[in-house]
Amino acid sequence: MFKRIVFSIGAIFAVFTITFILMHCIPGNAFADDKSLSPEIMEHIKQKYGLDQPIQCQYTKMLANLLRLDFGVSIKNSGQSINTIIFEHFPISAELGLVAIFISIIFGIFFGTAAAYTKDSWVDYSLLIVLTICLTVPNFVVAALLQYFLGVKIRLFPIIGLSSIRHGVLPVLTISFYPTAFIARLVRASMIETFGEEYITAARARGLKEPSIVFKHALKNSLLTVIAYMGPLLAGILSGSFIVETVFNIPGLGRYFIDSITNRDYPMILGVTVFYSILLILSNLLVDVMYTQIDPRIRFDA
Amino acid sequence: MKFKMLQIVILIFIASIILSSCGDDKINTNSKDGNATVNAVIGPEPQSIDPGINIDTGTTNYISHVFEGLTKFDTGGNAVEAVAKSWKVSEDGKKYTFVLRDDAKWSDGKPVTAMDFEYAWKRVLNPETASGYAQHLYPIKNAEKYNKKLLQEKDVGIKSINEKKLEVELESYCPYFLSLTSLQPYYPVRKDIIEKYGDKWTLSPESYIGNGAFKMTGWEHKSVITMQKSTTYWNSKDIKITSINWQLLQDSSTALNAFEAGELDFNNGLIPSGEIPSLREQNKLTNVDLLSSKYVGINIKKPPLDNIKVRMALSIALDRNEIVKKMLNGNGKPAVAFVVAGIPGFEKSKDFRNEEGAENYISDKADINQAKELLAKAGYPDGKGLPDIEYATSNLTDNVQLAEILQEQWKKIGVNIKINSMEKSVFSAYRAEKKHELCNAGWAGDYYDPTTYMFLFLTNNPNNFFNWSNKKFDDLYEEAQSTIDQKKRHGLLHEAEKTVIEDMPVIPLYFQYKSTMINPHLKGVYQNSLGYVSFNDAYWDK
Repeated sequence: MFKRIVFSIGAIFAVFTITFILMHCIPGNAFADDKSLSPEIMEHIKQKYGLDQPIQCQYTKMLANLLRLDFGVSIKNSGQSINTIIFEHFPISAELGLVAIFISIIFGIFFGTAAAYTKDSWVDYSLLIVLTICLTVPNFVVAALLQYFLGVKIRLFPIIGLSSIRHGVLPVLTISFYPTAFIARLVRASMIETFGEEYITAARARGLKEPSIVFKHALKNSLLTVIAYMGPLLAGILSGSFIVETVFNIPGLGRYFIDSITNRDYPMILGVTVFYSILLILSNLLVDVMYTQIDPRIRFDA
Repeated sequence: MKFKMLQIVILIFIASIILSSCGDDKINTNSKDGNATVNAVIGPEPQSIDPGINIDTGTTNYISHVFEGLTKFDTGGNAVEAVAKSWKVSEDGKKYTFVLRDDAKWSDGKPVTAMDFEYAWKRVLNPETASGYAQHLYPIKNAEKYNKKLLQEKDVGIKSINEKKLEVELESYCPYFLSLTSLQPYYPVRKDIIEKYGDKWTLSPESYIGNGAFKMTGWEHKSVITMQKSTTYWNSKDIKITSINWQLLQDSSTALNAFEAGELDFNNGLIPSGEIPSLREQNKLTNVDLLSSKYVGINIKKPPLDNIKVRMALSIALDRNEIVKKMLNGNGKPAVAFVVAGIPGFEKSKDFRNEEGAENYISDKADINQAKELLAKAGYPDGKGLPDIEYATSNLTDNVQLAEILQEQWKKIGVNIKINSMEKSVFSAYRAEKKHELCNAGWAGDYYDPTTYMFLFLTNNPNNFFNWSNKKFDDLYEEAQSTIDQKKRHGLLHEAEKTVIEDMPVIPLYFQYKSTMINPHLKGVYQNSLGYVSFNDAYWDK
């Protein structure tokens, strides 16, 4: 465990340093805009944000900020502290993401099991076709189609914002589209394998009821593959989808992250990147713990 | 048996999706029932809604609903009384004395004083504020020198005589000064508030205290800014809209969908360009001419563009009618010169573009033969021997489309263009450093005077991306700035513009406009060519 913590801290430090170097390597700056400012005013602004100092000073200042876990003030969101932005807007992305993950797991397992159980029947084939489509259609298309048909045409759900539960329906559907299909494919493949195992045949021979065979014996085994996929999925979805948040105008952290890069808002880029790397490390840890719970043969000692 | 179970579960799944939509209907329907709320979209999350800091035209519209200057624009674009009930101008035009209304109040009930204006203006000029619009206050005496740290704050020509009287001394005669005092950097702000809250004073409704028709009641970042009618505003009895929700939207398809779904009542031009022709056919668009023009910037230090004949040939070879047709669906105006149409002439009834002394220098049609002739004279017959010329642009769809149209048209005279498209912030920095050969450029005017355009060509202007420095132009401009006789002044400015056109550091293309969408029941929305939108006079018809 100790080894793992040290490794995690090293990883965060590496992410911080590499991000710092990369963001100063990309051309452009936070104040270049359609209307150019006079050199004097540019100078005043750079002074205000400490960008007139040598790069190594900026690095040590940022590093000191990181150690105090205070990422400073955003350049492009005037007067707002980056910590506040993260703590106000991450929960919005995370809430949508958690609901979407929950839906994806339920429906993914359901469709996967259904397809595996009815293998080679019309149900299996039509599910496979639908799942393949879900996997290949990019989510900006899904978002646009859902918004246009369910929002504009039949006005079933509101389009912009997140002021009620109904506002959340379209974005959650969009986010869960891909992972549902992915989980269903995973479950189907591993279920089919499991159904061929001897202990399933033995269970059937003992006269166990079908639901008990499917859910108690076969499904438990297939869950391992789903959990392996959960690590990256959790971090990816919780961090918020830029596209979904833009299309449905949801004030999640995903949009802040992408906008900070296009705006060259240096402290913001660093803050959110470091926050995301912590999130990724934590969710991988969570998955490892879940592994040991499901399969006692796996020990958590790495 | 097992298939039946599956079918039942699928049915439940479908039913649950449909049922989940049967909650209480929260879609905004105020537009129909006469409730006075407006849902509007101007653009995405603003960087700052501090009147002294913001430099974005769209964002100005949030600020202008919460604050009010000494003067404001009427429907004809003239500056009329707002917080100032009257003013006196000295004979030489260099001293203004404003008298403030007695009933002008801040949203917390305190009276608006001349000191608030003095503080606000000096704050914009203070180098530490780092305001991007400080140059709008440069006509005031010693303002520029203070902003550039050459003089002290006390030397600036702004003085509050008493609570209700403000005296302003100008550097030189400035015929558009009252147009300037209508602008956002001239809005008053509260010293006590800013000293207490610092940079964060704009973030919460408690500290964002204004003197305008509305007050901010909430700001959910990247989502919505909400405003309510201010009861302390001196003219609040005439304000019919009770609340405004400014949706902070980025995506134009979303904005269009939200408008179509009834979630928006006003859309300030956030429309996918591909949808414009069909929306126009359905009569859903309102066109607003803008004080805004599009041109190609030339770096005249880079060969072969250092040759005036090559620059001329490039301009003459363009078919501006076709460009307007393709870029603006035929609704814009081809540029006839540099200064855009819509600026008043020396006689207020006329436009700067068609008053006495004005000329249309540029044709809207291409003259391929003359262009080829010029190229040949420059030593490049049919473009032979001419290297590929770079055209730098940001990678926004419209800008790339323009680049491709230009590329195609210039090919006809044998000039090959290499399009260099890059991310917006990279492009802006690249252009500011004058690394380009040709570049995409445009300018939106900030106030109603030709100098809002002409100053771009001054030798030291940061937006002179052209490396162009012309003593004759600089002298004419300076002389015009100190000329009181309007007819003579405009004559000098026309001559200065002619100097630009003759040396061609830019190739004017077209004058721009914007298409907005307004709920047909929402009346009285004010929009002007500077990009200002106001709901102060708006109302819902029954």
